[in-house]
Amino acid sequence: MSARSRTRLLLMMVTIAVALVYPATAHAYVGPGAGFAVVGSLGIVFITAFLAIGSLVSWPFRAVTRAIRSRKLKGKGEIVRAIVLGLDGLDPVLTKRFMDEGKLPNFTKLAEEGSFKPLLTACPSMSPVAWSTFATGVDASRHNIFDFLDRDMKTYFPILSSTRISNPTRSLKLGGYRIPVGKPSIRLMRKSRPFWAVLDDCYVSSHVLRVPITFPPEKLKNGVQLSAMCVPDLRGTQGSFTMFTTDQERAGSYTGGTLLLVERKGDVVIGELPGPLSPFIEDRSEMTVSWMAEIDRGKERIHFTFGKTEFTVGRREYSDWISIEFAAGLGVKVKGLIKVYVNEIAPHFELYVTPINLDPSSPAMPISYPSMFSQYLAKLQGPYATLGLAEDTWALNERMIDERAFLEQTWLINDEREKMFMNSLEKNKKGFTVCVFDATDRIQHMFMRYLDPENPANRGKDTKEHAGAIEDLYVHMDGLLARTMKYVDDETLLLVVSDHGFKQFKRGINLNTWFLENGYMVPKRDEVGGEAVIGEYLSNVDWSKTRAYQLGLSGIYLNKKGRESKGILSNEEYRALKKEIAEKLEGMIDTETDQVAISAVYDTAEIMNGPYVGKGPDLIIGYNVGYRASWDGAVGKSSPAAIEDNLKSWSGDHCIDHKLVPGVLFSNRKVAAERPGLIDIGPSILELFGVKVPKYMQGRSMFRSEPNSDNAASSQTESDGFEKHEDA
Amino acid sequence: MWPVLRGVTKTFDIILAPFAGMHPIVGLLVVSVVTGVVMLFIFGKTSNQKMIASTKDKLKAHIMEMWIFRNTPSVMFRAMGNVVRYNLQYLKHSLRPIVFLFVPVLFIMVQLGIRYAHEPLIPGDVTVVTVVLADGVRATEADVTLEAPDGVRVVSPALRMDAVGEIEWKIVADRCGTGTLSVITPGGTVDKVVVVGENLGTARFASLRPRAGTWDAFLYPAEQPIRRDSIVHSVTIHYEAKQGLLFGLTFHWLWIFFGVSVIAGFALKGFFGIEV
Repeated sequence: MSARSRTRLLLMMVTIAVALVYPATAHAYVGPGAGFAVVGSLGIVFITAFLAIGSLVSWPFRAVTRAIRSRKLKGKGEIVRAIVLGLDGLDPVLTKRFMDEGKLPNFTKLAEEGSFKPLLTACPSMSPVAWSTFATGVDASRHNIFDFLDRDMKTYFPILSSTRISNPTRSLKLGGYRIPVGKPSIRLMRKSRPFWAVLDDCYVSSHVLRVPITFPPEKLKNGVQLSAMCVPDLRGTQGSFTMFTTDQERAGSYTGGTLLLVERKGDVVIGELPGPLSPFIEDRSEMTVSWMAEIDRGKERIHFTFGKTEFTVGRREYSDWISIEFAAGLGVKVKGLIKVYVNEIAPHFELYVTPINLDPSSPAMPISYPSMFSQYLAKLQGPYATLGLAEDTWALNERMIDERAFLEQTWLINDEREKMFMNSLEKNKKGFTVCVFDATDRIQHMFMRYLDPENPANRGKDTKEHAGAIEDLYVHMDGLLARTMKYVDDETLLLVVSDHGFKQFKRGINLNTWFLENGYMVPKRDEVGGEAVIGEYLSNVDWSKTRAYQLGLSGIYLNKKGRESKGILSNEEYRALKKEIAEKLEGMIDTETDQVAISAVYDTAEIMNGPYVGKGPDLIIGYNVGYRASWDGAVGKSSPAAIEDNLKSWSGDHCIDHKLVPGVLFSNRKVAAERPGLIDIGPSILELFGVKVPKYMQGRSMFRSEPNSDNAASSQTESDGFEKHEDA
Repeated sequence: MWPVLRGVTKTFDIILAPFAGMHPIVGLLVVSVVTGVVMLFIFGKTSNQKMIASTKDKLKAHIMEMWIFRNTPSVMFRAMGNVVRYNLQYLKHSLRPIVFLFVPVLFIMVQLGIRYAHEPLIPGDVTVVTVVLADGVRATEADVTLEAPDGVRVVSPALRMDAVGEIEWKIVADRCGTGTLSVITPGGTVDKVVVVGENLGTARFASLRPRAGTWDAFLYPAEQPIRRDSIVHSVTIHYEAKQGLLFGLTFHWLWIFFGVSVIAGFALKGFFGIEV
């Protein structure tokens, strides 16, 4: 403290002391100024005392009740704590390679002391399916999540598979306003019970942080939950960026966001950020927030006024999270969080705005249980990303931001995630804690091309500057593991789990185009030059003549009578067609590369037998390494060629034959099972806690015996899972 | 100092003039709300808003922590410790604005005090007048007498108390009006305004006329302070405290001022974007 500060402090203290010791003037310092502090402070003391006394008085009763009940429900466990460090998409081949090169000392140590094995993923091998299998210990036919997308059997329109959000059906009209009556409904479509709910029944506390497909959050009597994948942004999408530019040449339509042209007057640019639709205005008009940027060219700094908030950022710097409010009408305000990033200030001004995240301090939808938990984290560690797919891969895919900006964004989000994970490890010393980190998935999706010079996605892009991004990612996660291991003792189970591995994505296969070419799909009319085309989201399909279609990243659906609203296939035709398509597609050769493009086609009803098997795709395509559903095909659209190069930055993927992309399993305890799967994680943890594994779970404890050999969801790869990366 | 105090007093006379014919609570409420807003603004300008916001966030977080982790006593106790820690930090960050607010608030409260602290006498009231003598002057030997104006009578002989250096008289108010009690000493006369009446609203008068150069001279600026060379240190008329300010209920004016100004500040902090 400087001498000047000391003098100031001393003066302040003396003044306060004089005021305090002079009783006649007591009223003088208990004025509004001090009153704000005193009232606030006393209020806090009062609340604290109330909570403390209430909790302390009732605690012995609650503790005894819990102890008695939990003794009835669970036996003596071998552990008092389980930690699952979820690293989405951590690949066993790359992990082993970096371990062998001595770059991952903590993973190596954990493998030496416990186990390191490839982990069988779910079928199909994508995060919502795999993490649902992790959570519930069952396959897709039992948890009902087969893809990111499902289809509406009446309209054939794609819908989100995991969550249904519907507005109240009734409303009151008041002038130009429409006031909804009742609450919107938000339903989690994942079926079956997660294993932490079983732990919860037995009074084992769980902290479930950012595990995919936990939106809306489920109630836990003894724990907390923060939702992840499928939490929408404030506009209700799965993440829509907004790009503002003065460059008219960039005008156009982009996937995953909007580009808006703005005008520059001198060094001032103004614009309006589009937000959600007003729930109260009769015509459901879009709410907006005005912004203004004042550019200091010399210092390359930009002063922003976004609504009521003012802040300054440098060029190519992320702002902090900025809280913005949309006026919905009738005095209601909807709060969101954004970060801004200025790509360029000259010759064109280019401003990237992240998707508008729900503000965790005041979320417009439930994102945590208890609802206070998201606020608690926001107050404790500051605002944080709440969007399910928080890292904006589309912005990089559409080249709204570059690799550097994407990496910076991803690491900032990862840091937020680590803070909340460490906080839970600190607080939940007896119980189960899981946190899923997405940086591993997102960075591999976007930077895999750097590992393979032959990947077409490299064309016209940097191939050197970020060549080490994936290695850095693995090294960083090794550091995270080291920080996690500080919380591990003899009575703790530590698992590092990834839901799948990663491979190059070089060529996209559009099965809708293949269906068109082979007469399985028929368009309503010829749109372009007499050629038959199918539009986005299966528009322009003549359902009275169409027998099969592709939607999502791995599913093929047949147009079955009595199931689809315009179904045409009888049961017999349905069975025959399934067989026919499977035979034609399995082993399909890419004539351009002479490689097998589809290594397997699975008849869903043959590999799964759960109650929701009929809701999934009829066939699941097992793409070969290097291939995946094409971008157009995934959204139900046809394209000029059935197989084409993938030119997007999104150059790594895992939505291929599940046998080819196992995840990883590290454990500080020896894993007895030779071929453990994601499906076994829940049952294994339950058993170590002394909790009986429910009968509905298909997985078995991997610490005891060979698990689930009869289960297709965890069908084993024929190799050891550590085979050399073809491109690594 | 007196010219400054007189200037402030005149200013408040002007501010409160529009409320002269109204119930006294009206003026008090208006001054309290305006004070709350002005103080809020000063608080915002003189405090480290970022640190206050961050400290408050931490405080709220740890309070929520106590509830969320109520089944884990170790976490709860740690959270309680953190609440105390951040509460102290919050008070520390509030010190600077409190110092800045101290002087203006003091002036406001002094002015409100000479308008809202006491009820004037009403006809028939009996009260005591106390004259405090300067140090070293013996009450039994001092040639000090009291003369009352028309409408007020002195009804007791002087009670002289050497131990405390005070002389007291009882007086009775006979009719409404404002007059001057005269304390006659060999060195001259010391006057003290006496007010008798009902429903006088925000009439300005003080129970005490203090000596110049004392702290009380600042706190009771209704009348010019007594000269320092007088053997009289102060003159006090023991008025009753003001009653029935709020819907006929007995509330000290200070509580009303404090409550309303703080509520106004808290209510409008969001509007002005100020953390308190």
